[in-house]
Amino acid sequence: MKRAALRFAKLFRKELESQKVLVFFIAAAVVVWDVFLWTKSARWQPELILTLTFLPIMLIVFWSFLATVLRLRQEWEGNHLHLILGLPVRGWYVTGSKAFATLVEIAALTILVAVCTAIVSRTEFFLQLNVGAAYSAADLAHMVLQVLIAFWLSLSIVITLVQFACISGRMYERFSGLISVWVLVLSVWVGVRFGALFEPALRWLPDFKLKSVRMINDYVSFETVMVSSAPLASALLWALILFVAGSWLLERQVEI
Amino acid sequence: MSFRQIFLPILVGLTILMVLSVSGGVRDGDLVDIGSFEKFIWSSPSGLTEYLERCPNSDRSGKSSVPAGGLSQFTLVGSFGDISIKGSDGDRIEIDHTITVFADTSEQAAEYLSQCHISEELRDDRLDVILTEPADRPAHIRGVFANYEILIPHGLSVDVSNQVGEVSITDYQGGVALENGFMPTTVRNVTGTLTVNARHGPLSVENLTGSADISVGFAKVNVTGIEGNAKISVEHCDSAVVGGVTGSVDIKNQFSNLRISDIGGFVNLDSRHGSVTASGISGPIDISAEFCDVELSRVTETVDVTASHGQVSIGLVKDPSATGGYSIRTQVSSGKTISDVPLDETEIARGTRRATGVYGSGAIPVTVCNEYGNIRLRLVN
Repeated sequence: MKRAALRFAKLFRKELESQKVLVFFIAAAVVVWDVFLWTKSARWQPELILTLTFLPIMLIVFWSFLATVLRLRQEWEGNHLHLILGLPVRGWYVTGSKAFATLVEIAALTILVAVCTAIVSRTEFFLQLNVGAAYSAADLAHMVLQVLIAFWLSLSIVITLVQFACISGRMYERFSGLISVWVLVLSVWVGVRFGALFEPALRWLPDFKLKSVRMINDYVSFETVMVSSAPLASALLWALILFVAGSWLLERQVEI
Repeated sequence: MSFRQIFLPILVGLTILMVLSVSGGVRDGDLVDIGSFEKFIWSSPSGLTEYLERCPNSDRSGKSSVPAGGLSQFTLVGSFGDISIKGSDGDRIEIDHTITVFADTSEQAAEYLSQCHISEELRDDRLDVILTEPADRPAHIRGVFANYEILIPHGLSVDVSNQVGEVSITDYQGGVALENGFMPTTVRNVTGTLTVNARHGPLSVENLTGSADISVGFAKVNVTGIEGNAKISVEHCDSAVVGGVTGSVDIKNQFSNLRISDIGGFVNLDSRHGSVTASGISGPIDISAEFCDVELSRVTETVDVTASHGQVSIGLVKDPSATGGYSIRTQVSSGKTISDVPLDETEIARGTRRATGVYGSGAIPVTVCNEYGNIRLRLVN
């Protein structure tokens, strides 16, 4: 067990090393963007500044696609896939380490964006919104954590779908890119139908609870908005199936 | 046969199924019932209501009547559900309500419903109506809706807040404050001060006698027939129509296509990103616009437009005896003035040109400044 974990850790470290330069550039771009916004904070509207600080989130979503493709592509481009598959590890070690490395990078970049947003968006703006009066620090932390977890889980689904599509394409020597896109589209379409089938069976899972406040005259009412976790769970189940299938394809079927 | 050889026919088969499904050859329901799932994915409240309609539910209706004597304000705190309010000549507030609980099973819905009720709290001169339910809603309860039909004697101040549902108030005399989202909000034949905040659902205000403070976002808005002044804020509205206001209008627009017509008083407009078309304005016009095309037709009062990154077009009445003519002053940076009226134009700085001219006896001042856009002055009948 310990040996298996060590092997996974080594692969994971290799994956982190492989894309560290690009990740550094993305992180630097996020910081530069937020410094730029900070310099404009005296002139631009606080709402606009706050909205623009979230713009790098799109970059993170894009990175989840790109990193997944790059991590698989490098094995073929560098002509060392046979070395990886020659290791005494199962296919899911390889796919898992790649997916996990991308997820860790995404988590780090998301936290960077969140911290920069908190610094750049001026505190007075939040006070104007009366956020402090309505929500306790624990409420806010709980909500942010839930949103972050939902975001990361959603991107882990994206990573798995892209990974499966890339590996499927690599089964064929010709038109591998086209086949990957084809598989990706079909995976999403089948995933929606799969989700519809299994979503009712997963409704027993706890919902996401978001606290909302309403003030009408002096009437303050709190409400807990329930967001079902069943659709996300069924999508995760579909992603798990694709992950297992992709790992098997990599181990047994791909063209080296 | 290797897996690679099987994989391609599987892809082809799934593609045919997908194409048939998308093109309507195979209904989604024939494959799997995707309705609820997709609705949840997109989390649209209208989708949510459609989703809930498929859930087992239980409902209960009730009526209550509260004397209005001694009251000055009526407050309804709604959440999910339709609210219809009408004015009455009686002396009691008549409330018809229906509570509907959606759950995983009918039994769960009925049990939770038994713990829900409409509470009417008297606070000095105010009556508060609110749906009361247990503090912690169990996960198997999918939604709770409360629909109201209310008759209110004229003269009270009505304050309604709702999150999702159709809200309408008609034939009422008294102050009205409304807040609603995601469904249509309608105000018709009201006499009194109106305050509305509507988001993500269309708003219609017709025949209001009194002043209005209206804020709308992400929806269509139609405001027609206000005997009084109006303060209006629209953002991200595909279509925003404001017409037939006898008093002055103060409008703030963001990312909306705004059409203003038949305004009796002063128009003060601040517009960012969108377009503005105005006609039949009887009072002075003061416009500040950025990234927004402005078109005014047949101006008959003082016009002051400050714009940037957009085109400004102004219609001047051809017959000077009807208006007394215009005294025109324009300034453009990185643009040009195209005018049917002869103007004296000078370059006051690099890329900035000022033009002045008088049409008729010059009774009406027209001042237009534009940066990164043109100014068009047209003579119209």
